[in-house]
Amino acid sequence: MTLPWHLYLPIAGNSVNILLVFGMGGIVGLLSGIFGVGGGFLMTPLLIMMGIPPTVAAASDSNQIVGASTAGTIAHFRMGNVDIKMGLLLLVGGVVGGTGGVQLIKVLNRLGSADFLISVTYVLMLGFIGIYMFQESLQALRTRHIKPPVSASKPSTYARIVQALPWQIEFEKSGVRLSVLMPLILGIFVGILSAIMGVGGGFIMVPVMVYLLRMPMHVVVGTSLFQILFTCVNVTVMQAYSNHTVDFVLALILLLGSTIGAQFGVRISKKLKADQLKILLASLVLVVMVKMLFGLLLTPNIMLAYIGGH
Amino acid sequence: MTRKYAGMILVFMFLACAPLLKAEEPLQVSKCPDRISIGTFYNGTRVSITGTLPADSDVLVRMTGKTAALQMKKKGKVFGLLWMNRDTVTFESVPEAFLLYTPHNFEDVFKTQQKESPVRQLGLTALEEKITVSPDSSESGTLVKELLKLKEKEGIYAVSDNVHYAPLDGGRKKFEADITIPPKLAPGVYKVEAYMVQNGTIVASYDHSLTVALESFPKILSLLAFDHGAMYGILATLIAVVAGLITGVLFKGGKGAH
Repeated sequence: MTLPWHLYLPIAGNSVNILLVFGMGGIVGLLSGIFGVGGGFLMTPLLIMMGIPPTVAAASDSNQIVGASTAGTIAHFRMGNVDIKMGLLLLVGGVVGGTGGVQLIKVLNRLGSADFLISVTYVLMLGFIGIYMFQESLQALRTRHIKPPVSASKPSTYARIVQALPWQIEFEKSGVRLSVLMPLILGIFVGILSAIMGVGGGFIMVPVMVYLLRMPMHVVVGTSLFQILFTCVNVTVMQAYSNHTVDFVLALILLLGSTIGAQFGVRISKKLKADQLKILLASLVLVVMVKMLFGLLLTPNIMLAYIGGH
Repeated sequence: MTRKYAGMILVFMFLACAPLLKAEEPLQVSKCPDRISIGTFYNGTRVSITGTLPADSDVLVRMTGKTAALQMKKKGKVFGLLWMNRDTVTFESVPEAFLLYTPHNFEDVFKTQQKESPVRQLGLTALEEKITVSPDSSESGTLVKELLKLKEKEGIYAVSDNVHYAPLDGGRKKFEADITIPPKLAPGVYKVEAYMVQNGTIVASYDHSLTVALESFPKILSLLAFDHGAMYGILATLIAVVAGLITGVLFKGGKGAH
């Protein structure tokens, strides 16, 4: 930890090593480009470990995701991987769900049970998504079928309900025909969860698009980044205005690393097979889940926490 | 008239001798800065406090901030299994900083002191006794210990036996204490104190105020973020988008796109 350059962050109220933050941004950006996730669920805990207050870490990370997802969206757009129609519908649902989620957190905060809900939701969602994706991708890799991901574990009732919904339209880029209600409802669901968990929601949105909207993996990645871009613009402006927790300098260094990392990530993503991508993301999600679970089970070093952190 | 002149001469002589009288003071602090500037590349700093004192005395150097109440979350188990942030507790009389520098082995002097003795009041144990917790409970003492542990981990509270002496002529010695200012120390006004201790009693003291303030770029950024939040947020977003666009274009130029 004796790298040369340090920079003082007035909003975070601490100094950081520029090279360390730049490198962290690069790695998270790389993952973001490969998997189409914002990386908030990785970056925020890393920043907290560096001594940045949790609220500043989450808000500044949103700011850097704006830049990283702009670069990622452009790269994917050029490759024809962004379903704008689907992305906008998910976004509308996400905004509605996010607003509802914020209100829910306010109520739970008054009741004193918000922290519990946040942590348990995190572990359950990460565990459920991680295990499901891992199993499914492993099965697909073993059988090496060329047909699209098997949905043997999904009951056909789901498909029947989806087909019975009104206002069916064609999503050409994704190659699926679905009711407008589907992305809207799922967007609301992800919006609520991401507001509760304080993240962009990319790692929930990606499995939702793959398994519930049945979109092809490469379009999922591009569309997810497109949607995350708008979510994070909203979060950054709101946090800067009401809580003064956006540290722009921190975000800018992370951004420099992550935008470069994301470009490499997109190219790696193009070279990997869909199942390989899914199994890698599943492993990553499971690692974070196990780390969080240990955090909940092991006796903490210090029995106090500043208000505002998870 | 003569009496008037005699009086004036006496006052003049007293004023002329004042620095000399000051020089006779047992504890003399010769170097203590007034201000620490937090600039762009600030990563904490070191402040050197130097002076002289009689050879048979010790000096304690302390830097403290103003005290305030602090609300925190207490961790507890839910369903006897999961550790969570649970009830809110309020600590009263928590100083913003507490950095104490003592000579080597001074801990033994603290131990021999009575509970209310002025020397003991300078130490961390006395601070621990001064901080109160509400709501008060059987675990209040443990919670204060945990608070001190957290502050020590952040570098905001510290006790160090880093006061060094060098012998001087005339039965005196020189002292030097290098105070480590952690980067996490918030801007504000702090108090630097030096206490001369002889046979377990405070004989002389000195105090000086030290301002820690934001300068240049951190100052501008802080003003913008706290006084013009919406504009700052929009600006931060726009710059992020532009940076993303530029990277996108750069990579397109370099590698070609599909």
